[in-house]
Amino acid sequence: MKIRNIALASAAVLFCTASISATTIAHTWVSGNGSNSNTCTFASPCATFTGALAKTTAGGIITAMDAGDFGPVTISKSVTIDGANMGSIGFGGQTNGIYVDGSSSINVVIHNLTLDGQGSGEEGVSIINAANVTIDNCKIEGFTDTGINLFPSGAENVVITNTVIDGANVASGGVMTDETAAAIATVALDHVTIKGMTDAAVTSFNGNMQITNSVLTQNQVGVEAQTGAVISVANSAITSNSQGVCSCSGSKIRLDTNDIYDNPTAIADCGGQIKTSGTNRTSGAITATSAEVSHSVLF
Amino acid sequence: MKIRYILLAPVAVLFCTASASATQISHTWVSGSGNDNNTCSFASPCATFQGALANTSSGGIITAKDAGDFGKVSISKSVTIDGANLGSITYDNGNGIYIAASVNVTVQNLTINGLDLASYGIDVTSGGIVIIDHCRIMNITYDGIIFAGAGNLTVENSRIESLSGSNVTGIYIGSNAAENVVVRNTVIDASPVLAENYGIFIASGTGPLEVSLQKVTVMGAGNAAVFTYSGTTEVTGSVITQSSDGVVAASGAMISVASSMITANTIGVCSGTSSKIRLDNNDIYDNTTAIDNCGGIVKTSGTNKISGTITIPAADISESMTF
Repeated sequence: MKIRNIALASAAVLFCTASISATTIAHTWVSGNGSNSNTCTFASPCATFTGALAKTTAGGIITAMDAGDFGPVTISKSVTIDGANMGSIGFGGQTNGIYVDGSSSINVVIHNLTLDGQGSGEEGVSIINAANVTIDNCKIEGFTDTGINLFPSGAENVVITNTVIDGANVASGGVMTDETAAAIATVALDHVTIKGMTDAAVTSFNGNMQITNSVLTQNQVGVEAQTGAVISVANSAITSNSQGVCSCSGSKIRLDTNDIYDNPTAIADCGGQIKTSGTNRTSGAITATSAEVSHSVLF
Repeated sequence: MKIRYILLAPVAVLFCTASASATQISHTWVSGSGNDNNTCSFASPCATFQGALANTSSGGIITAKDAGDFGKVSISKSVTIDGANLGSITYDNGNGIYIAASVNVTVQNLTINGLDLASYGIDVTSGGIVIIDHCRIMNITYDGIIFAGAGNLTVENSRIESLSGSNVTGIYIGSNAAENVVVRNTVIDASPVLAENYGIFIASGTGPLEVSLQKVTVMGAGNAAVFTYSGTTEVTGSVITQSSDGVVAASGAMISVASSMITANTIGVCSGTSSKIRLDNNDIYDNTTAIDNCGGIVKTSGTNKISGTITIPAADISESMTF
C-alpha cells in the first residue's frame, strides 16, 4: 500500500492530473461521509456508487461501509454492488436507480440494497445489455413506472431472489420484460414479493420466466404473459389482485401448487393458454374459456 | 498442543520476546486499524486473522470490530471467525481460508474475494465440523469451496458468485473418506457461463458420501448446475436454472430431487449409466431437453410437471404430468 501511495503522489506531481482511472482497485467502499475525491479504499471511502465504480476494477466489488444514499449508477462493466443492508439509492426525479448497459459478457450482482424512487423516480433497475444480472435481497420502492425493467439487446439471464418490490399503488409494473426489446431474457424469481402495481406485478412479453416461492398481491394483475411469453409459477401466492392470472394470445402460463385467492377474477379470459396442475388452490371467478383448470381444487 | 506450549515457553524465556502465543484469549478482535503486535483484545485489536488466530485459544472466536481486509488464514485448531459483515479476505493466490486439520471451524459474515486470480475460496482438507454461514465467496478461478477430506461441512445463507477461470466449481465435494455435506439457503451463481464450470460437483470416490441441498439456487453453470459421480444427494426446495445441464448423475451416483424447479437449462435431467435420479413434485420447464436419455435410471412420481423434450424411454416417466 505504501508503495502504491508513493507512486500515485509522483504521478500527480508529474502529470498534474488526478490519474485516478489508471489505479482501479478490486474492492472499493462507499460511506455516508465519504468523498469522491478519495481513492475509495476502506480508509478513504467514496461518496457515491458512480464515483466508486470508476475506481473499481472490472469484476470487483463496491461495499457500503455504513448507512447512506449513494445515488443512481449506470453500470457498463462487471461488478458487484453490496449495500450491506445499510446503503440505498435514492433516485427521485431520475429515470433509473440502476441502469445496466454493458457488453453481452458482463456480470452484475446487486444485493443488500434499497432503491427508493422517492415518489418521482421512474424505474428501479433497467437492464439493457448484460450476460447475467443477479438482484438479491433488495427492496425497490417509491418508483412511478417499473421496479425492474428488462429491455435486452442481447440474450441475458436474470435472477431475482429475496426481494421486495412495492409499487405503493402508483407504479405500473413490478418486473417487466419489454415488448419492443430486440432479444430475449430468461428470468427466474425466487422468494420475491411484489405488491401495489396499477398494472401487473409481473409482465413478460418474450422468453420464459419462472416464479417460485413468491407473493404477488394487491396489484391490478398478478401474472400477465403477452405475445408468446411463457411464465411458470409454482409454490406461490397470487392474492388480492383485480385479476390473478392473464395469459394473452399466443402465450402460456403454467400454474402448479399455488394459492390463488381473493382476486375478483382468479384466472381471466385473455386469449392465451393456461396449464394447471391439480394442486393449485383457487377462489374467485375463472373466466378463461380456454384455460385448462379442471385439475384445480376450488376453495 | 501441550507439547508445543512446552517447547514455546523456553524459547520465550531465552529470547525475552513478548511471547503472545503463551497468553491466548478466547475472544480476539481484528480491526482495519489494528496491528499484529497487539494482544488482539477488543481494546488492542490485531490486523489479520492469522495474527489473531495465534492469540486465540482453541475453540475461541475472532471478530472483526470494523471493516477491513484481514488477509488469508490457515487454520489448524477449532475456532470461529466472524467477519461481522464488515471483514473481508482479499487475496490473489492460493486459498482464502485453509482448514488444515480435523477441527471444528465456523466462518461467518465474511467476504472472500479471490480477485479472479486465486484458485480456492475455502479449502477444507479435513473437516471436523465446518460451518460456513452468511459468507460471500467471489472471483475464484477454481473452486469456491473444496471439501476433499473426512468430516462434516455445512454451507448456509451464503453466496458463491463471479466464478472465473476455465474449469471452476462453486462447491467441490468428494474423497475416499466419509463426508456429510449440507448446503442450505445458498445461492451459487456460476456465471459467467464458462464451458467447464459447475455449480456443485461431487467427485468420484469411495466416500461414503451424503449430500443434502436445501433451498439452494444454482445458475449459470456452463457444464452442470449439480453433477455427481458418487454417493447420494438429495435436493429439496431448490432452483436449478440457466445452466447447460441441470442435474446430472454418473458412475452409479444417486440424486433425489423433490419440490424443486429445474428450468431454462439445455438439459434438465441426465442420469448416466448405472446411476439413478428420482424426481418428485418438481417443476421441470423451459429446458431444451427436459429429461435426457443418458443411459441410467430416472424414476418419477406422478407429481412432476414437465415441459420440453423427453428422450428417455417413455415408460419411465408415464406417471408425470406433461405441461
